[in-house]
Amino acid sequence: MAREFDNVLLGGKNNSKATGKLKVADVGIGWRNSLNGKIVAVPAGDIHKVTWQRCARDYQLRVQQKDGTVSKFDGLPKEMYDTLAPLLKNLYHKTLERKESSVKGWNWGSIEFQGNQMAFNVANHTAFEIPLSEVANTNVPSKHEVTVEFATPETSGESGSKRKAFSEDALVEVRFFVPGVGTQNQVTANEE
Amino acid sequence: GAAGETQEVFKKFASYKSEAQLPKHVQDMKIIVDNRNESIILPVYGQAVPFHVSTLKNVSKSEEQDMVYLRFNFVTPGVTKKEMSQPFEDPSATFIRALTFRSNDVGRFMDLFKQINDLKKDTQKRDAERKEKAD
Repeated sequence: MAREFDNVLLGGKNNSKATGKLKVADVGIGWRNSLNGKIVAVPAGDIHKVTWQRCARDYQLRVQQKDGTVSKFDGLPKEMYDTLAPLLKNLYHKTLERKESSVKGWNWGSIEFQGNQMAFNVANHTAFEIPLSEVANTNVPSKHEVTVEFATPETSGESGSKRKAFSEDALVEVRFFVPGVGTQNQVTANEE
Repeated sequence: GAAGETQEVFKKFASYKSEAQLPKHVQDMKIIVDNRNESIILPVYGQAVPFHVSTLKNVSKSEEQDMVYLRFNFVTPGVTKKEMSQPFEDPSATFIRALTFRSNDVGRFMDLFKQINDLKKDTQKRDAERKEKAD
């Protein structure tokens, strides 16, 4: 019953090109980095929710554990849904939910925390998720602003040679504006 | 004053209707300028995230040692009078005010900087012309 999928990328990483083998078996879901043999494993009993969505590198299998931990496996072809959905149903009795991503191009929405992920949702669809494990620092530079800084390949020690050109453009900081109640009144008051 | 006092209304816009419309090369996880759809696409932790040029206030670049940074500043409700007069669909939402990206590919980032500024200028010009015609 177990199935293996090659050339699967571990999602939710900055500048990570490591491909590996994804194995979906009765004991659980496992991914093995082809380069260094590192393993990411989700035991069958811990699987809470499985979703299927578009990502930059084709499609993504997102696995949420009962404790909130989220693992993402990217680079799956669209048609793989037809193989994975019945497989996940048979093995773990889970329905592979299709989730749409926001491609509206808006910079306003809402923040939602889900386990180890922080999602930015636009009109009820997730535009992107930030893995909290990648957050290096946060700041509140002004009353309605929050900045989040990320671990970059050098600081997290995941890059190879420093002189080599980075293969991907890495996000280093995001600044949110959170209006909150009372802003309007405060501004008016200040102008008087 | 009397002239130009008409309340500006928020104009709806969208980069793409569906995920299928994203350019194929988003898989490279690099910043993309999509002139046809008046959008930039930014790679954020495995997701290709479009931003319509209307949301972009400006882009700035800086260099530090061998690194080059592009900072995208977005339009948000603010505290200045000018910012307050800007119409928003949902002023109480959480806004992304800025995103900063880094690369050591200085040449490509310089090129992106120019492309994005050109796109911004072109759309502003077109919008101004459209407005003039409508008046």
